[in-house]
Amino acid sequence: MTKEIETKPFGKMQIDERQILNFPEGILGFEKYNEFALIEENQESPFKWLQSLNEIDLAFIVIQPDLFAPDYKPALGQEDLDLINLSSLEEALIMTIVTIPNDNPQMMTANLQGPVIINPKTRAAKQCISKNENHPLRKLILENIPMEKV
Amino acid sequence: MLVLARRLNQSIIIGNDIEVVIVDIKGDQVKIGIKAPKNVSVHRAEIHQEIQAENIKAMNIQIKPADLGKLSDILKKKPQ
Repeated sequence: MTKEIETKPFGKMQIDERQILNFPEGILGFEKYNEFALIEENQESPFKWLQSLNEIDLAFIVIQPDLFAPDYKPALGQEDLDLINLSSLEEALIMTIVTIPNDNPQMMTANLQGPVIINPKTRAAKQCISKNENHPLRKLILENIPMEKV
Repeated sequence: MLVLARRLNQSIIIGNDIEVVIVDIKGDQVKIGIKAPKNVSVHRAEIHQEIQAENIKAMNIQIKPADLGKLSDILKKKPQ
């Protein structure tokens, strides 16, 4: 089944209902918004959008952390897994929210402290807090690469 | 707010199964131990606030599709 939604980056578009994620607790700071669609930027891009179905301006750029932090494994509590019915983190799809400075996009960072954990089977999701204090709020995504002008 | 005075190694009980112990006191820093069931989440308050603030920043990003495309290209070239 497809559904037409309004998105911040692409305007009106058709999505598959299987792209809709349910956040029982919302996202930190936006607890009232429970439904988001996971939308590809394009087929080649590592970026995706997490778009609220209820508020067009509520959209986040997200990325899978294994692309820039291959050893990252968030330290979650049982309560995190229970909320979205996961028996282990291995079953989860992990996404991190990206922040991009307007004046210097190459300094974009990903939030490894507050990852978005998705149960791909039930499409339930939660923004969890990693209990590992070495997981930064702002991890430079383009660390260790030569600077190019963007 | 309920305010209780406690000494080193004394504790308080919240509900039936959460215990908060004063483990150490040094100057203006207090170390607190928390025994709680696995389904209760315990975090420093400022971590919540910092993640909320970062989410608001992330939501307010203004990036042109072309610039996001360039970032994507750089990322794909990045050596693993």
